[in-house]
Amino acid sequence: MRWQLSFPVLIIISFILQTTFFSRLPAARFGPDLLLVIAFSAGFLLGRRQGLVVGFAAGFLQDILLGGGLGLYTVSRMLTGGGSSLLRGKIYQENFPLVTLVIFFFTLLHELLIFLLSEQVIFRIDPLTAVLQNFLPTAVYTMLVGILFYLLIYYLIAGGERAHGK
Amino acid sequence: MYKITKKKIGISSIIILLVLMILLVNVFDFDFYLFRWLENGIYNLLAFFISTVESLASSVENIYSSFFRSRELIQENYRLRQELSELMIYNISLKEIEEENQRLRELTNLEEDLLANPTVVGARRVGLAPASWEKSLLVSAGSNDDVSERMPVVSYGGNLLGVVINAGVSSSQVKLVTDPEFVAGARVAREDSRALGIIRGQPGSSNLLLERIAWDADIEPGDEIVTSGISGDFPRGLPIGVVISVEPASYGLSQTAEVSFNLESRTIEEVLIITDF
Repeated sequence: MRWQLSFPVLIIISFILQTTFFSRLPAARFGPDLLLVIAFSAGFLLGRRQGLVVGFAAGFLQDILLGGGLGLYTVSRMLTGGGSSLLRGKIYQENFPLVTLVIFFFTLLHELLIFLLSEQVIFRIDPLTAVLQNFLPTAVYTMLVGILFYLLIYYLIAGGERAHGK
Repeated sequence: MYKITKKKIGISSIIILLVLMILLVNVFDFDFYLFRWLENGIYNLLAFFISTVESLASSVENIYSSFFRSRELIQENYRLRQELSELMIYNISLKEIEEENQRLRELTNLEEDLLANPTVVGARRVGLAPASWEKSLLVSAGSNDDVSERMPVVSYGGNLLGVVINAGVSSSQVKLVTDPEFVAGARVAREDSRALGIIRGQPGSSNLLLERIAWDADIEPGDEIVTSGISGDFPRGLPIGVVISVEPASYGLSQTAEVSFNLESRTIEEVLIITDF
C-alpha cells in the first residue's frame, strides 16, 4: 500500500483509539502518544519528506481537536518526523529493542519541547516534578504501546524486510 | 560537500512559511477565514468518525449490560425510582420556598441573580482530546443543538466541568476546569465569608487553585467553592470543589487555596451544556 494512502488511515485510526479507547484506561493522562510514534515511524522508515508530511498531518489534526489549528503540535510532530529521518542508516530498522529505546527518548524530547513552549505550564510546575510525574510515565507508556505500532508500520506499510537496504 | 539544490530551497521555504503562519496565527492572533473554514471542516469530519466509533462501542457495551447485568439493572432501576419519589417530594417543598423567596424579594425590591430556569442541552462524552497538558473533552452536541462557544458545561450533579471552546455541527470541544489555561471567577460559599478569588487548573494535577484571594479573607479547609458569576461568563453558584489547604501567596499580599475537583475526566460520561442562563 502506498504511504500516501496508508498513513492517513493509520493517523485516523490512532486518533480514534487515543481519543476513545485509551482515554478510558486508568493511565489516560499519560497517553500513549500514538501520533508521535506514527510521525517517528514515517521519518525513520520512509525518509525525511514522508516524516515531515505525516508529522504535519498528525500534528495539525491534533491541534484542530484541541481547539486551535496550526499550533504547537503541528510543529512538534513535524520536528519528530524530520528528526527521526536523521537516524536512517545509523540504526537498523529491524533492531526492535533499540528502536523501542529510541521511541522512549523521542517521547521524552517531545514532552520537553511541549513543556518549554507551553507558557501556562512552564512557570507553574517544578521541572523535576514534570519529568518524574509526566515525562517519564508518558515515555514508558508510549514506548511499550508504540513499538507495536512501529512493528505494524514496519511490516505492513514500509514492507518489512524488503525495506531494509533500500 | 553540502549542496544547495532547488528542491532543498523549496522544502526550506515551505517550512519557513509554515512556521511564520503558525506564529502569525498563534502569537499575533491572526484569524484567516480560509483556515477557520478548513479547520471546521476537518473537525466535523473527524468528530463524525470518533462519534461513530464511540456510539458503536457504547451499543456493544449496552448489549453486554442488558444480557449480563440485568439483575443489577433491575436493582438500580428500583433504587432510582425510589430516589425520584424522594426528589419529587423535595421539589414540592423547594417550590414553596421559591415562592416565599419571590414574595420577600418583591417586598424588598431585590433583583433576582441566581441561576433561575437555565436552558440546558444534554450531551454524551465522545472522547478525551489527546495532549500532554491540555484537558479537553469532546461531547456529542454542537451547533445543531444551539450550542456555541463560551457556554458553561456542568456535570449531571451540577458541578462546573468547563466551557465550550469550539462548537462543530454535531459535536463540541469542552475545555475542562483542570486545564492549565482555564480561568473563572469563584467565591467561598460560606454565609459569613463570601471571599472572592480566581479558580484555575493546575498543570499535572487534578486539583484546582483558587488564587488572588484577599490576604485577610476568611477561607479555611472544608469551605465549598462556587462560581462567583461576576464576569457573566458563568452562572452564579455552580459548585466547583472543596478547599483542601490555604497558603499565603505573593509575599503575604494574597492567599492561594488548593481546591479538590472530584470528577476525573476519564470517568465523565454525560454532561449538561447551559445554553442560556
